Amino acid sequence: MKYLLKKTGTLIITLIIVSFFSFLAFSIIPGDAAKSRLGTEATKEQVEMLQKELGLDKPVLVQYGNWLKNFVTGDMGESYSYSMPVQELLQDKIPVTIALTVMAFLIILLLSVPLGIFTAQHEGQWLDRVIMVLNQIVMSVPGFFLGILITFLFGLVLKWFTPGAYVPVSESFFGFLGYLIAPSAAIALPRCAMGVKMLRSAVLSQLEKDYVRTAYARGNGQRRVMYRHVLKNAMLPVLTFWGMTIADIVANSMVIEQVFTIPGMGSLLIASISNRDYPVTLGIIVLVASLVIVVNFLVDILYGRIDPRVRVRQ
Amino acid sequence: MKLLEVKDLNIEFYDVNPPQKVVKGVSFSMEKGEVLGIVGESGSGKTQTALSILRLLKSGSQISSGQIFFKGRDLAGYTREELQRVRGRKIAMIFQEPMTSLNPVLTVGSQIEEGLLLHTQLSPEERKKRALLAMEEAGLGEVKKLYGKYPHQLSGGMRQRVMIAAALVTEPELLIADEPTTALDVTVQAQILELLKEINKKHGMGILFISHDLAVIRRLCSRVLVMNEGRVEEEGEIHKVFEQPEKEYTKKLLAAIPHRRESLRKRRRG
Repeated sequence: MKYLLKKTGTLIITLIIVSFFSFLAFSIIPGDAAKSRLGTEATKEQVEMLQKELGLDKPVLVQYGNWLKNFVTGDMGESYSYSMPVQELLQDKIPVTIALTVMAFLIILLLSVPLGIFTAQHEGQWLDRVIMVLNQIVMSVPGFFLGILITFLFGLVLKWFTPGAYVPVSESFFGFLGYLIAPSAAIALPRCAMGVKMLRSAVLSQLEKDYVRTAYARGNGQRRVMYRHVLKNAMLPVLTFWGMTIADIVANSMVIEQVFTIPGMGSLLIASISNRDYPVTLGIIVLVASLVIVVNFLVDILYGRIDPRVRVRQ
Repeated sequence: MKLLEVKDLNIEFYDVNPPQKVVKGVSFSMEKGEVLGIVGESGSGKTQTALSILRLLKSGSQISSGQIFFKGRDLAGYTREELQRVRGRKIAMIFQEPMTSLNPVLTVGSQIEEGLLLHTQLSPEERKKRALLAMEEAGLGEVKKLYGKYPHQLSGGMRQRVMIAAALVTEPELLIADEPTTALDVTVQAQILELLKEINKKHGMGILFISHDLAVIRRLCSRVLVMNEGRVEEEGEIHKVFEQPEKEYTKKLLAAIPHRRESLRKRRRG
């Protein structure tokens, strides 16, 4: 209970810091919402009037205070460039980004766990070496470039999907998921390669431990030693990595959404930054930040479930 | 029939160039229920000998020649499955480091029970019952409470008792103990030795006890094998080896034991 309170406190403090710095960033970068909304033709008077209307003429701290006050009451403000409440604007975008994130994460789990175990079990053999070389290559390619490659190979050459032909959920659920496969693979693969490498080395270092010898001496077979004894221990460092992976996926999806023209939060974020649309930008940043913190919180809990040494300290 | 018979055992590390022989033509045998000690410095090959019996040698080392008979059957001829049935059921092993020899993420109870799970068809309730009995026998108090604890919540001495309980639970005929008391405090060490003695008497379980410490060997074993640089230097009844050692090496080893009376005398003089 105390733990939960502490974590919630961390969440709130982190969100305040994150949103404040985003706010600060907006006051530092040139250009403002009023000007970008009115266009280059606007007169000075028009701009000033709009600035006053939007509260942009007040000091940064006051502006931030107002935003925070509204945010706490559940009002995320109104978008400057779309003239609609931020909540409404985000409503359709969030599921898209979440679907992309979940899919990418599943790909990472489903690929990296078996591959990590397999390569560790066959350490030094030719198949392990081939996989590790491929792994190294995939790891060093940035996601957006992989996205372009995937679009080219599977979209243009093999014609497995039509690049750019995004299918909204409302149209067809499976079509929507189908279109997301390529982008989520582009996000997942580099991270997945890292996951393979991490799990492999974690398993290998566990296999050196004395308790493994004890397990064999007790009459365990190789399979049981791996799944009953080693894996649980090897998962601990990897679990932390997975937690960080979620943040990485979300960050990457912002870029990948552009490559695959997916109308998720990423596209919206980039558009609203160039429009100096700070209510929208802040809304997205706060959302993403809370997502990351909540996921890390879940990882902590999972960690405690697996490792009794952590559980006792809590 | 002998319980264990090792004939002309040779072990080499083959991943160094040139391959290095660490055990050179070691032969010995044990009767049923006997407590045999192997003593030697680190690097004498005693641990490699012990590990090779259950074929638990690390990768990079192997038995290059020799035979190991357990109740008349050569373990070298066993398939992996057959070997798994011997490990933990007929021959159990405990190790030097009780701190790291237990799996940190599994409960003490589940690790003690594992032998039963692997080698018997007993129901979970029956397994638990026997595990608790073995824990009591290994001198662990409050066994019901300890059953659900994790290794890090226990002291080194208790962990070694857990290892012993896990070895006992399947009632093996041979227990190989590789320096089981080396990492423990002297008082705890004495308790563990007493415990092993009791178990040997009560169950007639043969114990192959490996140590670098002659004093420890003397308290427990009836016969001793002195190893040096991969060879058996001397073998014999414990009293004979202690009182009339034949080899220079054994004499040196004996001279290295700090003698209580002598040190007392010295202290008085000084």
